[in-house]
Amino acid sequence: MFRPPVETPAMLLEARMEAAGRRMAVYLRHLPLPERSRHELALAALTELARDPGDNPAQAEARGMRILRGLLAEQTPALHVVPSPGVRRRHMKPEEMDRRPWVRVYLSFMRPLWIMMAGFFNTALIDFLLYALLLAGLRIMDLQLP
Amino acid sequence: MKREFLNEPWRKIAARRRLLLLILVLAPALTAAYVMGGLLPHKGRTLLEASIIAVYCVLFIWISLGFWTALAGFWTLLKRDDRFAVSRSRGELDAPIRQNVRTAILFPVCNEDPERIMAGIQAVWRSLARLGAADRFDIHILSDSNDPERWVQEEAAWNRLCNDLSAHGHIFYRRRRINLKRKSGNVADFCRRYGDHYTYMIVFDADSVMSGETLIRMVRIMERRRNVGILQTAPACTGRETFIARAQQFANRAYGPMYAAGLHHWFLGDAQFWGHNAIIRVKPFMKHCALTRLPGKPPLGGDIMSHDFVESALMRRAGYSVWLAYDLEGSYEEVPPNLLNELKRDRRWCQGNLQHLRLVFTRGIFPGHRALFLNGVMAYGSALLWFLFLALATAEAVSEALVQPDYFTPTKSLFPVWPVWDPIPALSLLAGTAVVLFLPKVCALLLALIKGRRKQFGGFFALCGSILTEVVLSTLLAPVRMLFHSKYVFLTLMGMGIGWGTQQRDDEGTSFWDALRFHGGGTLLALVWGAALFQINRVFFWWSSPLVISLLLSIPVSMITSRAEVGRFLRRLRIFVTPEEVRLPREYEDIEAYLQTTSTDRGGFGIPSEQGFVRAAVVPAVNTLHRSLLRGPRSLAPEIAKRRDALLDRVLQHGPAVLNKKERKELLYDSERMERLHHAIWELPAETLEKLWSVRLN
Repeated sequence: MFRPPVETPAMLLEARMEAAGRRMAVYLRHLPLPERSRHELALAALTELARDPGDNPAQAEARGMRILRGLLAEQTPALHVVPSPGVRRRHMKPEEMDRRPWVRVYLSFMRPLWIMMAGFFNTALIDFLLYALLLAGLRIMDLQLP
Repeated sequence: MKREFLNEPWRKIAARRRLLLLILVLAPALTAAYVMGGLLPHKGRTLLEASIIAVYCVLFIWISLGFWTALAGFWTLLKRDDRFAVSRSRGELDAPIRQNVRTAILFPVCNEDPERIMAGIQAVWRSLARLGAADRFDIHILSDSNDPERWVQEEAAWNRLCNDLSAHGHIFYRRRRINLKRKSGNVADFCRRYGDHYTYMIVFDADSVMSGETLIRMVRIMERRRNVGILQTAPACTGRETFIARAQQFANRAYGPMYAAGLHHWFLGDAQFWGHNAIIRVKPFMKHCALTRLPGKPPLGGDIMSHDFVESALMRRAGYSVWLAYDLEGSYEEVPPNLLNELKRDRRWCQGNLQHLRLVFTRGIFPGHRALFLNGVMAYGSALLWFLFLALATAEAVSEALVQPDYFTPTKSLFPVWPVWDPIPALSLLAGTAVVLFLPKVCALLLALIKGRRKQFGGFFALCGSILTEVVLSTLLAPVRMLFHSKYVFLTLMGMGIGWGTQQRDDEGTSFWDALRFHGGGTLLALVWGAALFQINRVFFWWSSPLVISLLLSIPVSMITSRAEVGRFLRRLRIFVTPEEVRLPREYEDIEAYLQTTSTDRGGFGIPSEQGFVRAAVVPAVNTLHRSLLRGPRSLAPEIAKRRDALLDRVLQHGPAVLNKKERKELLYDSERMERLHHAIWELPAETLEKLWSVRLN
């Protein structure tokens, strides 16, 4: 008569330990580590897990991965990556691009003229001019100064 | 403005040659316009006819430019020695490369297939290594990829390539977070950070390949001629198998060298930069070629899109010459695989080139570069002019058919004036235009025969067959391109911009629905136009029938030309055979071998490499690599940290499918959370691990 195997707590733990070991091996295989280091880490993690399997056998795999992570943190994987040479910062400033030279030419004439006129209007000479214009106007209209 | 290296001996020759070109182009165009005027019913005296003549004259100038460029190239290549060729050493040897000279090879990429990019890089690197010159070069992959999957894929592919070639410290990878100014911004960013390490940089496209010999030769030319700012090669198109791509590859290899030599003949040291497959002197580039933003909004304002033309103009303005090394072999690029992709690319280029209208009058730019700006504008503007010409000619034909002719002049006469149309000038004009369009192809055939290159094109009959097939195909496609280019120019001038997306770089056929979506409007237009002309003016209909038929056939033509199997069938018939197909360059052999090895690689728990985010979350090596390439831990604003924690919880609970691209990218930027995610995933029960993250432990 067939009798199904009785799952004792010890057997359950053994199965969980085996699953945890498999998970660790798979994980380590995908890390850039020498084979020897991988084996040593897996062994150390499993030893630690066997010594203290925790209260819940269902959590053995997660616990095993946490132990492995702790061990990996001590031994940082050798990742020889050089993404760029040393930064030597320099500037790259756009030079002036005068796209409408005719505007510049126009301004080169008009600006001094404008400045000259503004200068003239800011002096007392403008008062003389206005007074002369006033007199000329009165003369044209045949009027006398009050 | 301080300029260097002026008063160079070639400048006078170039000025004379360009004056000659102007005469050669203007004289026949004016004659053709005069003949055209004589052909029209009112001899060009109405506004409509005057417009037809004006547009025709501009179009004739445009096609004449191509014609004379081809003939000049034919003459240049026929001669045994070109005294102005930049590669010519005049008896002296190329200068040896100085000890401290280092050259950067730049690969700006943006969401392209990383494996193909790495394959190209490894081919270039191996080619340099074979010559023992790899230590003089560094390769920089400058990524602007904004797709999170591509980002991780690029990192992993780069790392594997460096491991395979033992080239860590020589092949670098950098991804920009903010893609300012697209490719030009990417290159400028490189210059600002690392440009000081290098004397020269060679800019590639994602699909460019160059042989080690060519790279070294270019550096040597730059070493010998210190006044050269940019040295552009004429890349050979290769690597594609679709019908249209093979036709373009053939045209590029059969006629391309002639046109390149012709451009060199007219422009000499005022040549243009095409944005890739060119070597640049870094220091003057950084000093003089930084690009400003154009005032106003896109498409005609904002960032300068076709930056290459502008950079060469600025380099020349600074006094450095820009040369086209038309005779340097070993420089390759790929063409779009189908018509739709070509048209999409053209839309970007059209927008970029039309921006140059705003730069034509920039102070200090050399006349040659002003002409090149206009040339770029006309590359697409000519399509709109052609469209305009057809519209005006149709209006004229319709009005002539509908309006009663006036048989009696205002002055009294006994005899009526019969409308007379002499077909001889019309046929002469047609023949003249045909000569301008097709003589360059005959020249290309002659050149191949004289230079003994016919075997490189599959033999004499294969070459003739290829040219004939190419003529038929380009005649069929010309109206389709004209219609699309006209639309692009019109939309751009109306201020409607477009995105600057990624190019499709694999041989994918066009589906019926895609073809219908793209060409349906053109087909309908041809149907209406053809039917109206057939009813109103039968003679003009027959003259226009090639255009109408081409547009009517655009849907099937677009589909058939996109098929790789048709391309391969034609190759079996030895049609469109190119030198690279007869003898595959060593670099392309390397690319094929590399792609074969990577296509079989399903490493990383069988998670496809396209699922970059999942691999970064699950695969320990990919996760470690990704985090090591990110900046160190950063302090985050509480709301950002909270948002990211919520994302983390969500992805752990429901798997990666619940995150959209933006959310994936946000997590990928966060080194700390990527580590937490990775650890949490590996603590999940085996069933959940397999269900949500596709990880099989057994």
